[in-house]
Amino acid sequence: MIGPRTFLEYQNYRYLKVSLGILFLSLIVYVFDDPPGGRSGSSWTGYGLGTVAAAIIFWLMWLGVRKRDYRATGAPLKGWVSAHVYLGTMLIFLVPLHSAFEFGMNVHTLAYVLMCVVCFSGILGVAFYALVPISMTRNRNNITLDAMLERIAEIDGECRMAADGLPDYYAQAVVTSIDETRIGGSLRSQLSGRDPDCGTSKALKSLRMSEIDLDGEAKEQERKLIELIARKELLLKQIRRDVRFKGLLDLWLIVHVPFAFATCAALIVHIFVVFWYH
Amino acid sequence: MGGLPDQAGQVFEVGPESTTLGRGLNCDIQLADQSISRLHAELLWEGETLFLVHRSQVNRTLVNNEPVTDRRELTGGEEMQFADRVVLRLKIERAEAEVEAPAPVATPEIDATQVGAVEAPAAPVAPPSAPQDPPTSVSPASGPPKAPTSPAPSSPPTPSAAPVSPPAPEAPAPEAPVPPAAEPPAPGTPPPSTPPTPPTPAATPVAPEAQGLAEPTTSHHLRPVSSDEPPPDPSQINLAIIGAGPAGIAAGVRAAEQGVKHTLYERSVLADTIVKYQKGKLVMAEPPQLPLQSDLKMVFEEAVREQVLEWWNDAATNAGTNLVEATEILSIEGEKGAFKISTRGPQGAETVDATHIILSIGVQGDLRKFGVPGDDQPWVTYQLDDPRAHEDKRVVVVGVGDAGIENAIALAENGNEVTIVNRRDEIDRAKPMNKAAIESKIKSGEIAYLTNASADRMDPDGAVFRTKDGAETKVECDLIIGRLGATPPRSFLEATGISFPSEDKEAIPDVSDKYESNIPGIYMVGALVGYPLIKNCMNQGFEAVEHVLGNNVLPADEPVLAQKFREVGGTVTENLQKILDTVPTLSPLTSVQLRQLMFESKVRVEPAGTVIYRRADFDNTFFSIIEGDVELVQLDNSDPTIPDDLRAEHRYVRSAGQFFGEDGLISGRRRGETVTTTSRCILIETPRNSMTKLTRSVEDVKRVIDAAYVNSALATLFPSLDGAARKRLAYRAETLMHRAGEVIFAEGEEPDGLHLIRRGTADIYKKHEGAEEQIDSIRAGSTIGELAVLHPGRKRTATARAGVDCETVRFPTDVILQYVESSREIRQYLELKEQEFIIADARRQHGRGTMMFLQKAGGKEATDLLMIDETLCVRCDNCEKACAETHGGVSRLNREAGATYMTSAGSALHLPTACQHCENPKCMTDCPPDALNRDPNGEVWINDETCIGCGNCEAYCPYDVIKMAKVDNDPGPGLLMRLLFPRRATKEDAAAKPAEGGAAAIKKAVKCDLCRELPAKKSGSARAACVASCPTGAIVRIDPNEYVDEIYERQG
Repeated sequence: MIGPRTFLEYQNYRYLKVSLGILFLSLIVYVFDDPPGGRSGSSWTGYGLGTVAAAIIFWLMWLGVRKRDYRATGAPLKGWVSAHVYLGTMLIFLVPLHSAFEFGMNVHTLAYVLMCVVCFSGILGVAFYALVPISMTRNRNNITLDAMLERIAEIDGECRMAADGLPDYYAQAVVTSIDETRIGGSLRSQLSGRDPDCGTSKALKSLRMSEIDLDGEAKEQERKLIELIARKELLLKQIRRDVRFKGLLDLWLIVHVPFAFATCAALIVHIFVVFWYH
Repeated sequence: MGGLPDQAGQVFEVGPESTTLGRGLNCDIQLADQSISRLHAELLWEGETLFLVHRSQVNRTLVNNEPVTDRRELTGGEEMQFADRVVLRLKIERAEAEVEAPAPVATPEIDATQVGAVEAPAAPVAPPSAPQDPPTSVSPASGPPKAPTSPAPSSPPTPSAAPVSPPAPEAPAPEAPVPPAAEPPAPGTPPPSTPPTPPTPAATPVAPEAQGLAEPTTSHHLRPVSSDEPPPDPSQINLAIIGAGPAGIAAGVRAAEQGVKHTLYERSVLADTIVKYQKGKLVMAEPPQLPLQSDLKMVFEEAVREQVLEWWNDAATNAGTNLVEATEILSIEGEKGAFKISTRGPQGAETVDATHIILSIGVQGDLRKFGVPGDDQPWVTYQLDDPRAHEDKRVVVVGVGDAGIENAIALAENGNEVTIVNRRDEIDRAKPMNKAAIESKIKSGEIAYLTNASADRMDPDGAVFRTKDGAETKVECDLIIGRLGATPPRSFLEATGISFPSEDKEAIPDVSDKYESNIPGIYMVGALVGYPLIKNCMNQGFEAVEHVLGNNVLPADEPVLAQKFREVGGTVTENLQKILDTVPTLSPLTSVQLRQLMFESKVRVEPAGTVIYRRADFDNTFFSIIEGDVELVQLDNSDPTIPDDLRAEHRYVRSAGQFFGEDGLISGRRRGETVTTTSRCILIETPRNSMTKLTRSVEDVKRVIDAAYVNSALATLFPSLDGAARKRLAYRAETLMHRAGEVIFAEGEEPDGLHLIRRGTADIYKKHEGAEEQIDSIRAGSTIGELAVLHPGRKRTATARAGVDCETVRFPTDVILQYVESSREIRQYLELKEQEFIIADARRQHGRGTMMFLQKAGGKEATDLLMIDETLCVRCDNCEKACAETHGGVSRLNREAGATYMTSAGSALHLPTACQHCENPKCMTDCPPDALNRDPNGEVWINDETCIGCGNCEAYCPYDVIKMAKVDNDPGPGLLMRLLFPRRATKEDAAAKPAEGGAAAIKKAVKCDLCRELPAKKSGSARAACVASCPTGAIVRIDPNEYVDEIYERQG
């Protein structure tokens, strides 16, 4: 067996243990520190845990830089990702300990809420990372995207040739299939994995509904045309599914990264407010 | 030169096993006659029978006037005739001793007599005279003329009455009234091409063995030998230099500097070849370590065409060289001090005098022209100066050599409609890269292709071609470019009297160490004598002039060679002579060739006990022993299932004059033995590329090395075979070449024997339910086709195809069968191979195509496989980005491409396109600058400083992992800059930046190098950037065996 090498298992779940360790220690400190004014974010425990949480948050942000340093020595990227995931998740529980479960309609809680959005989007990301790739492989079936697109271009060419010499109705279908077929587009259409307005599907329908009588070679051409368009439709389905999967793999990042910056901003405001107004 | 008359009446002894006869100095019986081949025949004992085996590929052997094409049994008293003039009579005397030894007890002798003395004792034939002497009595004395001159296309022109020409090997001279028997063997049928007496490693640990051919008994002089005459009076010299390429220009410049009367003749313009280069083409200055003669006032270094032409024209003008252009040389007659050269220039024909001549005419010869009506029109040309000057034209390029292909592609890429015409239907003269490129352009339809067609006539609107079946095709065009090759200058040279060592059309004329040919006063330099590189040409031109003047000039490589021999002591000349005297393999070399070889090699002086290399090392140099002894230790290979540390060891000794490490000449193989010096040794270590060049140009060296290979391969495979048996097997062996994709043998065919793969890989296929599936891949060093030998009468059970260009040694079935019966070892070996075949076939059926998958993806050859677990891969392409960022902007990894193996349990293991650092790297097969190297850890990497961008490696790699790209090593703005100011922080477009020297930066070969230049990671994890940058850990580099295990585990 090649050995545990996924980012979750990295070094035998080292960062899971580290995170749980930090959480556990924090819990102990939290429980044993019961100052006279009651527990709060402004007690020494509160400040301490807050500093730890803030430090972790800034360190988590650093992943964006580390990810782009391709010559880095030291731990491989998956180690960083492993730590990122576990420490990040742990923060959900650490921050309430820091704030002694005090929440309200204020910038402080806003920071926490934003942070939670970041964390949950991250957890969602991990879930997608676990589920989507294998479906993507199965869908692709050992062909590259470039090859699929090239094949579609080839089919388009062959369709044109097959429609040549047939009544206009057929040429019209081919034109519809070529001009009105779209791949990708808005976020919604990418994620849906299908296109209800797909020109190729329309073309296929119209071909099958054709009431024109043909015979001999023209009939052959019509059959060939139908086969080509049907193949194209299958390929398009395959490509759109691929686009959908890729979209799912990237989707969570659309939330995760902007909200992370927002969290940082809110955090800085929170810290400033706490000390300025104290 | 000695001639046969010296040998008349001489008696030679025939040895107990094999006795070679020929012109070569290594032959047991040396027959110094020009008509005899270097290795002409062999007398071979088999049991108690003596055979005469014909070896020459060109000249004939007759026994009692009957031609011998293969072998003939001799009983004694026969007359053996070699070529046309040499006749030897055989006497076998049996000793009276009472010995029951199975070996022959006879002490045979051979009586040498001369032709003409057989029946008609009158009119002895003239000895083969030195070419400048007028031939004496060549007239047939009595009896009918000899057998008709063979219609051999490769024979030199029969010199009729030309005054200076030598008697051709098949001249109608010798009268010998022996009745003309059958026709001499037709030129096309080679005798069984087998290697000569192979060397015999001994089985005993101590006694040194005979290797290669017999030891030279006389000291070998560099030939031809320049005379020791006193230097001529410079004022009396009138030097004619023919050919104004770099060699001729250098000679002209030096002659002018020395104040010597001279004329530099050139049939077109100065440096014509470079003038014909495409504009802006880079002219390279190889080899980099070779200095130019310091006194030569002619500048040259790597630069563009225009700059080089400027330098050279300046040099000739400044020196005052007497250059005569547009003048062809028609013939040369006379002798040293009084040559008469007939020329044809713009003013017409004339004859000029010269006292000395330097020939620097290169090997291009005369460009072939169409020779059809209409070929004198302005739209018919024979060169392409600038492809970019032509756009939107219809162009026909005739000829599929490198020049034709390059022109056609350049024109097509510039938007012209191109048709390329091939006289036949094979494209086999071009470099592999060019061949692949034109085939792809033809397949895609970019270039039209006309085969089996030759030009019939040229009309104003196009060219008319006639195809083999007589039909005519007209191709309308605006321009016709003829790239028809050239007639080599050999006929001109031979008419002048220059002798060539063999009929081989690639043969190079010999020169002395002063560049003098066999005609005193005529010197030959440059590509003509095998040195096409510009720097060599310039040095040789300079040195030839110095030699004409009688000055002792040190060759330019002298200081480099002197440095190499420093530790050995003695002068360079002494050392070179010692090498020629000691090492039979190198003795066929001319002095100039030997210097070149030494220039590229290392001289090593090692004390006893030094390990030269170890088994399984990756280096691949060739070693010749000048002094001392080494011991080779090999592991017994007969049962590969035994682990290494339990195998028996075989020890061999090699001594002065022998060689080792020849397996390295086969690309990329690991060393099969450990070699340690057992005494103080002086060794020559020659890089693989230099040896390969040598074996290609000097036939005798190739033969010896081929023979050594077969012998050592047999010794490794079947250690119990004795030397004599190995010799017999090797003698019957045949070396075959197979192009990639060619069938070596096919399922269902009659078997042709056992094949030993010398070079390359053979893929084994078997038909199952109509479809052919690959079941295995066999590497060099191993055998294929064993089953047919084990079960005679059966047809082939599988098809073997060459995976890449392959060389196999075939042992015919009947020969091997003899040994199968008598040798248990061989039988066991074959049975083992049969088992392996059965298992491979079974695996194929069970493994759901795992083997096929691995085969296609190349996993079987890999030493290091890049694998992506597609259940983890989130398609972020960080791996590709990392590879590009750490490697000059070009990713060597294509994540998406490549095959994926889906296990039934839901895993998906993908092999992206990336170098697998194969066991036997196909890419290393033919790298002219030797830029492909292998680290001790096994990484195969390309040195992009020495890479010249020829593309051979790309063509050879079967996995498509090498590509040609412009590498930009400028790291660009730092990380922070890129993050903060992404728009501003971009690099200049590397493609737009010109390289130094003004030439366009060329594309070089790039491929994965396992990030060997990156610093090691502190945490001990993988160094490879792709692996280190994967966020989920999907991509890993693993041992291929692990891959297979992983699949089987995940099958569940």
